[in-house]
Amino acid sequence: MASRPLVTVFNGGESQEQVALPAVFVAPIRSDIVQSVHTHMAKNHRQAYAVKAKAGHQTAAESWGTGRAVSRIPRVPGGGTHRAGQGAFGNMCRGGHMYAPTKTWRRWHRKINVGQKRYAVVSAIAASALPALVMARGHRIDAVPEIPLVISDAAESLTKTKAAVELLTQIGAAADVEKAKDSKNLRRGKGKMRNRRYVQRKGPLVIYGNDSGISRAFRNLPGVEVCSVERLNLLQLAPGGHLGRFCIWTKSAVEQLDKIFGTTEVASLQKKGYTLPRHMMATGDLARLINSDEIQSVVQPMKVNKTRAPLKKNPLRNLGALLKLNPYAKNARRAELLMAAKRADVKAKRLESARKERAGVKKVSKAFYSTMVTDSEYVGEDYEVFSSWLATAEAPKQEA
Amino acid sequence: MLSLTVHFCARRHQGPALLTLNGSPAAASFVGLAYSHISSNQAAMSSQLVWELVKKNNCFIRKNAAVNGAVFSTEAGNLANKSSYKYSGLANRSNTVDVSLTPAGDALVLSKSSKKSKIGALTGSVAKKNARRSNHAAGAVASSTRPDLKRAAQARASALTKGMRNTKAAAPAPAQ
Repeated sequence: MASRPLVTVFNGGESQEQVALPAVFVAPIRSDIVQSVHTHMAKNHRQAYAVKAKAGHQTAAESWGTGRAVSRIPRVPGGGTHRAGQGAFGNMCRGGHMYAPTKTWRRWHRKINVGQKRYAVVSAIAASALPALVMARGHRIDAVPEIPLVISDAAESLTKTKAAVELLTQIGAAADVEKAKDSKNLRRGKGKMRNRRYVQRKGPLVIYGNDSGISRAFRNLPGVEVCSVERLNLLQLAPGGHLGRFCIWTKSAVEQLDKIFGTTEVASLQKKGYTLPRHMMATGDLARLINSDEIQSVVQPMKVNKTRAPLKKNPLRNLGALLKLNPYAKNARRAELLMAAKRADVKAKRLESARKERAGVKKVSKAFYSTMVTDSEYVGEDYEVFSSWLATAEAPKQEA
Repeated sequence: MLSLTVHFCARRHQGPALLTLNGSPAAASFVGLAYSHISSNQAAMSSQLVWELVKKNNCFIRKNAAVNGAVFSTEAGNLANKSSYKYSGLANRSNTVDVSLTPAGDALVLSKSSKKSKIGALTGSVAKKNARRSNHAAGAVASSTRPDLKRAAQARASALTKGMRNTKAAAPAPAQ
C-alpha cells in the first residue's frame, strides 16, 4: 500500500508541520445518498402545525334538503341575525373550514437508517477535501493554500472575533467570508413574513477538536459556522444536499477523525462496529486505467490507413459497373443503338411515303366531291319535271 | 453508483497519441487504490469522478433556456465556456488552460494549472504582445499542456483580442 498522503498544518500563514490524512477523506463520494439523507434530515426539525380542529364547524348548521330552491349545503339555523340561513362548513362557504384541514398528525419526521446517515457524512467529508467540488459549490478558495485546510491548535484558544478574522485572512479564507457577507439579501416570497426574512450564502465551516474559545471567536462572522468534530452534521457538511462545504479543520479535530470514523480496516471507536465504506472501483481514474500496461497490452493497435469496402454498384443501372463485368456489353449496346437508329430511319421513310400516298387520295376525293356538288346545281329546262317527280317542296306551291 | 457510472470519454483527450494521457507515462502502476481520487499530487485525482459529481449542478453552470436549452459554464479554465467534460475547468482542474483578460481589459492572461499548487490553481502571465503574437502564444500554452484544447485556446484568445481592439478603437474618441 502506498504511504498515506500528508496534510499541511498551517499556523497563521505559515506551514509548520504535517499530519497524516485521515481515511475518511478518501471515502467514496455518493452524492445520491447525501441528497436523500439531507432531504430527510432537513425534515426532522419541523414542528407540527395545523388549523384548529373545530375551525368552521362551530355551528349547528344542517342542510335544508331539496325543494327549497337553494343548494343543499348545510345552513346556519335560526333567524333574527344575518348569519341565519347562510351556508356553513364547506370549504366554499364564508366561515366554513379550509379544504382538507391540516392535521397535527401529518408525518413530519423521517427515520433514516444509521448506516445511510454515516455514509452520507463520510461522503460529505470526503467531498470537502476535493478543491474542484468545493469550488463547484461556490466557495471562494483561490487564496487557500491547500484543501483540506488544517490550522494549528492555537486557533482553538482564540477568543476574539478580531483575531479570528485575522487568522482567516492569513489562511486565505477571508474571501469566502466576504462573499457570504455580501450575499445577505431579502428573501423572496412569503418567507419574509414567516421569520425567515433574509437569505445568505454559507461561508466556511470551522471544525474544532477542543473548544477553548474558538466557537465564540468565529460564530459571529457572517456565513461562518463552527462545529465540534464529534458533532459533525450533514446539514452543515453538505448544505442543501450539495457536496463540497469549505471546511477549516483544527489539527486536533483532524487527528480525531480516524477514531471517530475508523478506517476501512480499523473499526471506529465511537460508532460500534463501524468501518468506512469501500470504493466499488479500485481506481476511479479512467485515464490511468486506459493507459495502464494491463489494458494497453490487450487492446488492438489503432487501425491506420484502413481501406474501406468499395460501395457496391448495380451493373444493371451503372454502365461502368456493367462494362467491368461484361466488356462485350459495350459493342452490344453500340450495335443496339445503331440498329435502333436504322430502324427509326426506315420507319420514318415508310411513314413519309404513306403520308404522301394519303395526300394523293385526298386530292382526288376532294376533286370528285366538288364536281359532284357542281353537277347537283342543275336548273335547266328539265328542272320542273324532275322536281315534281321528286316531290320537292316547291312542286305543290306551283300547282296552287 | 458513481464510481461505476464514470464513462470512457477520457480518450477524447488523447488525440492520436493513445499511449499517454495528461502527459503521464502509460506505466502508471496500480498503487494507493483507496487514494486514487486524492493525494498530495492533485494530478492523481480522477477527473471523470469529479465530472460525474458536478455535471448536473454546480455554481458555475448556466442553463439558458433562451438559447435552445444550451448549457454554459463560467468557471476559470473553461475555454469554450461550455458545460462539457472536455472543457470543464472543474473536472480538469489539475490539467487545464485558461485564457482571460487582465482586470483592465488591455492584455491577455495566459495561464495553466499549476503542478506545484495543492489546489490546482491556474497560474500564468500577461502576454504583453501584439494581438497576433498573443493568440499564437495562447495556442502554444495549450499545446504544451492540453493539445486537444489548442484550437479552443486560439479561438478564445482571438475573440478576446478582437474585443480589445474594438475597445481601444472606441476609447480615444475625443469629447466634443
